[in-house]
Amino acid sequence: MQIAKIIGSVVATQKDEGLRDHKLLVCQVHNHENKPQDQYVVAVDAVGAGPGDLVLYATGSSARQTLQTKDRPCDAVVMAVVDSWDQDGSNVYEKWSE
Amino acid sequence: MYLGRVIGRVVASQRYEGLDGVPLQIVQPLDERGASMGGSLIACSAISSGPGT
Repeated sequence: MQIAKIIGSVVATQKDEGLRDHKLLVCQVHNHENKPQDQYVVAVDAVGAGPGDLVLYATGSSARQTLQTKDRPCDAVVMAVVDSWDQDGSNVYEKWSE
Repeated sequence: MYLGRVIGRVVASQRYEGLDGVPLQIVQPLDERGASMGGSLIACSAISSGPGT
């Protein structure tokens, strides 16, 4: 799993039947210091995340383990919204202090 | 499998229901000498590991 920030969404009407009714989120990957990287992922939303949320996303075959994405053409899924993030004894991120 | 050190944790109450109750930890992969190798990642903890282990 990796950490990313939701920076937008993608609407695609003409798409595979397996992805119908799935919200597609544009995620910008963050590194271990919570710095945005020049790396972006489009992921299916499995938890109701929205723009500005810091989230966890899974990729590869793990992304097809949720009920929403099982057996679907998906290789990235947002499966948690980060509340807080502690690292090396200090707080890196706190959702409610933003 | 790889060697790694737990360097932090993530709290996420809004999560996929299949992950309810599973601790989420930041892990830094290590090489064969114990030096950091590549970027860190988030892992589900299946044992009672904690920061520093």
